[in-house]
Amino acid sequence: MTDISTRTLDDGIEVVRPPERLNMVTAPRLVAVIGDLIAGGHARVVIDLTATEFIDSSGLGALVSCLKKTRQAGGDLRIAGSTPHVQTVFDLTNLGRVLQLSTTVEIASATFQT
Amino acid sequence: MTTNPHHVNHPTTVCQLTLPPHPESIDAIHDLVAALWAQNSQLSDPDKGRFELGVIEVASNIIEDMRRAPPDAPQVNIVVTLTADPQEITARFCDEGRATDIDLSAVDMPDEMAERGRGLALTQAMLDDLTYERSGSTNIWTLTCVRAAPKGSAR
Repeated sequence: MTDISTRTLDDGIEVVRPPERLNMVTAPRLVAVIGDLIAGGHARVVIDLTATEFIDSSGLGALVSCLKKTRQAGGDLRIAGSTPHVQTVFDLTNLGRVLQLSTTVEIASATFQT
Repeated sequence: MTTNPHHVNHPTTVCQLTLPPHPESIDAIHDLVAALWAQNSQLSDPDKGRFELGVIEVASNIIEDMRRAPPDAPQVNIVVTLTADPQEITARFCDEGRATDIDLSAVDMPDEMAERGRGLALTQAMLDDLTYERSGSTNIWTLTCVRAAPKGSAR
């Protein structure tokens, strides 16, 4: 349940899929996974939240941390596929202003080309 | 876990767990919330979402505060009690740890690029009431979510 999967698209963009619950247990693992990708030279990342039914402030903090890390490494971060609960939390915290949200991984990854 | 149907038409469901203050206890609390939902199938998804968020935020806050306690402080458990009745869903956290220095009236949402500090502000935004009190040697957090009226109801 706490597995975080990664895959690489043809154009080198990394897609990271957090687990069902992004909380104080799993959020540090997400930051570590993104850190490993950046260390490997992959700083363009889409976080696919289609499986994430729950996010709390630890999860939000992790997403902001990942955003900063990718930008510091010359890349950027996109968010794809927010579930209704996650979208509500983004709206309440105004995080939609800083996290670029897309409905699908395909749309999110295409925004790196522009 | 206990279930107390006080009245056949207006049941009150109570779920309770005693947990150590470890991050791993968060998953057990998620499961406790799920157990409450399993016994209250008529709850709306928005009510379930905001209640679970508040419960996990407060639990995380308590656990993080206990992790900052001096190493020689005695480890205490957290008693989590979740209650659902036709009007409200409530959560109560009790522990015998050190008093928490928190002023809930001063909690504010940090700016968008902050990596910490949203938990209690988010909880207050999501729930109808959040209180903290020190009663004797006990910390008591109480969360209240007033249930949405069923569709078509005049309540």
